[in-house]
Amino acid sequence: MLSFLGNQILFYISLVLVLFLPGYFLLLTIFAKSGKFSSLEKFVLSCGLSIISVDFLMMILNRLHIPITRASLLITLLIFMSACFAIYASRTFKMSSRLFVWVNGLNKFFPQNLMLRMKVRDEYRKQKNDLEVGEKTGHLFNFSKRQIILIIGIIFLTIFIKADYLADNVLPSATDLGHHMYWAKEIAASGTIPPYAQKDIEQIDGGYQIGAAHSISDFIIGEHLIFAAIALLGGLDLISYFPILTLFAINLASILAIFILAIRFFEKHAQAKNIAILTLFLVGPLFAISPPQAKYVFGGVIGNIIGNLLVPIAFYFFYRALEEKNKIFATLAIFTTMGLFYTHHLTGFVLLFILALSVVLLLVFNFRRAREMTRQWLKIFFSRPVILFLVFALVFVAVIYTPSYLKNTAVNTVIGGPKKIEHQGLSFSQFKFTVGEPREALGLIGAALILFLLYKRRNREEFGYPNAFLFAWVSVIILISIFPDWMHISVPSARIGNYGSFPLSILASFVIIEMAGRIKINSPEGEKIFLNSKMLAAALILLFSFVVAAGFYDNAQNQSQDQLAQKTVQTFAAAQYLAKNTDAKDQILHDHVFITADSWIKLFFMRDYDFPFYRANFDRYTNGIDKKETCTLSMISTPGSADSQKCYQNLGIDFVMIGKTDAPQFVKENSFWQVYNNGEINTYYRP
Amino acid sequence: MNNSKKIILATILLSLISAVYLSWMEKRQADLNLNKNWWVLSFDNPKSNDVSFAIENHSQKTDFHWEIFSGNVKIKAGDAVVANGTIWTSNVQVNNLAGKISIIVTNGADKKEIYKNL
Repeated sequence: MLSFLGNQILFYISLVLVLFLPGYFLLLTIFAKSGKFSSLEKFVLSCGLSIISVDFLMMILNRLHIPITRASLLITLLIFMSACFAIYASRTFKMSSRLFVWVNGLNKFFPQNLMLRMKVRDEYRKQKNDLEVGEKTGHLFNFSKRQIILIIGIIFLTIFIKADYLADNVLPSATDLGHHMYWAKEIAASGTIPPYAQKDIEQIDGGYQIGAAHSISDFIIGEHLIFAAIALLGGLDLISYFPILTLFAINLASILAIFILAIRFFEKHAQAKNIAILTLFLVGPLFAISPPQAKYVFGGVIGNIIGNLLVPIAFYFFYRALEEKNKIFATLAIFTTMGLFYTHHLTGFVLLFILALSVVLLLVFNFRRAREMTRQWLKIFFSRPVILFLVFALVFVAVIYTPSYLKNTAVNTVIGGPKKIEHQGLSFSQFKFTVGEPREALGLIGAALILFLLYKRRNREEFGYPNAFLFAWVSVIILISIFPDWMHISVPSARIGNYGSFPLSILASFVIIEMAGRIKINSPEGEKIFLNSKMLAAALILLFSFVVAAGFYDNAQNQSQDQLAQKTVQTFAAAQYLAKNTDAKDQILHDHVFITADSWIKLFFMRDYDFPFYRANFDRYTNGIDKKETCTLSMISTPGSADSQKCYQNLGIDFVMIGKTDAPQFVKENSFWQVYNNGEINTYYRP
Repeated sequence: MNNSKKIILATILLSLISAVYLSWMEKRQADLNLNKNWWVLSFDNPKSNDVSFAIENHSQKTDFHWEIFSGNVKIKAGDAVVANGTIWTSNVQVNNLAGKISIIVTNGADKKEIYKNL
């Protein structure tokens, strides 16, 4: 019990150190207490910026050949946060250490010295602007008592439904999570960032051999560093609750990120807060389990989970940079985008597509003011802070750490049309199930409405940034997931489709709130519409009920029926038995098809990413892309065949771990000894 | 001044409660014995000719019966009481073995076998 409590305390401290404090201090350094952010915005943005900061700091440690250990990491984080605080404090102290005069309108003291008048004027302007932004922010994030109760209620429901689902699956067993945690453990154990490489089985001159390690492009460093950091700081085992809880925390932060983004996007709309609250409802408790929500948390789809936090944050900064003509926000937008490319390049590419389409839309819909708009953009993005950061980014990529996909052929595998069955695009019907039927239907109406509003803007002084971003966001997701051929891109269609749930939820909320708004104005003095308010209210209640029922039905469908825990511990026990009774000379093969949590077996050995070798899903041997050899298939499916025996002999495989389904074909063979049996896993030795 | 701090506090509090609950659930699920019903039969030395074996019990049934066969001939048998969460190791000396040596262990209706082809 005491060790459980100790572990818990260490975990929460590590979580705060990795997922919150670095980002918080970074924001403090840049913006001090300027009032540009509400507390909620600071809280959410700090999570995203922390993940990126910790990644970058660990990469720098690695480049400097300083072993990444608990001590070095803790010291680095403390130095980073202290430096941030020192800059913040010195800037604050500089101003307060001079002689002051009281400046009306700002209700603040300012330096009296004549030489400083000019600076005061600039400072006055800046402070005045900050005050205005601060007032707007304060107003935007000042909720009524009812709204606060509603928001907290939605958050409670969200956490409750997700936790209920995860409670049955919190013992880690998912395949993707196991693969990722191998690399996190490798970083934590070796103290360095390893090259992403594995050894494969090769067929040469009619024989088989284990080839030399070759680079792999399936992983990106940002998916593993924060887990290694938490494992090191907290002294925690990676085969435990902590990876799933960390992903859960990031998932919750991403939902809040959508909430703050919705408020900012609709900040000029009278119902901004209500649109955001409804968005929170659509992305929170409704469809709380289906991808990319709790299922991705349990499944360890790390890139998408972090991507779903960083994408809204990137949009947030891009939007504020453009709307407020703020260079620092522009720098942070690029910083977040860079972090995204170090975490999940697919999401990064999707973000770039969306930004490109947004630019096109803005230029088309502001054709007459295109020059003025472009000039504004150039002023923001060709400013000193942005250029300095871009130089830093280039140096970082070239000198500190080059992402594995730039060194390998991953970019080529993404570009040039679908190459796998799961990359060949979703049907409209599949897309509907991927994002949730009501969200899709209402979201698409919202997309059409927002495009119309972009065209028919009341205030011609505005460029319509949120409309362009939202329309482009939805369009690109639909195009890539349904028509990958058109985009000449090969990415998992369903995973990209899942990204649609966020923008579609914002747009669906916008449509519902707009309709609800119509009821109010359908008074004798208000605008006339064809339906009377009672009928419209009834229709709205019906629509809302449909949304809620569909969302909760989806949750119920996705509830786990299997009790995985026993099977998982049986796999771990069998792996432990082999780890204890084998040495470096032994070669092991296991099955993936019928063994639960098999991807975690490699964490008990830590000899290679592809050790032990495993029999993959059967279709991987026939699709012509994934598996180039059939030894791993035949050695388990037909262990007595001549080809299998050759594989065993050439590769030196002497232990095989299989489920009970495959046991009969081994019992028939005299060349195997059955040395372990736990009811679920059978282990055979080939002397 | 905005009041979004209440949202942050509520989120942190609710997240913390759910995280502690999930951690507790994971501790229970990772427990080899709690609410589980399985047991293990394995050779102590899988790579050698030694046929000493172990029974590791994670079920509530504690009475085991073991038999050693050389081919189809039973050469030794015995009973073992293995408490939940413990490992019983055989101290059976069997010499000059050849052919298929099987260890068959029963626990109620549940039966497991391991063997070596010496």
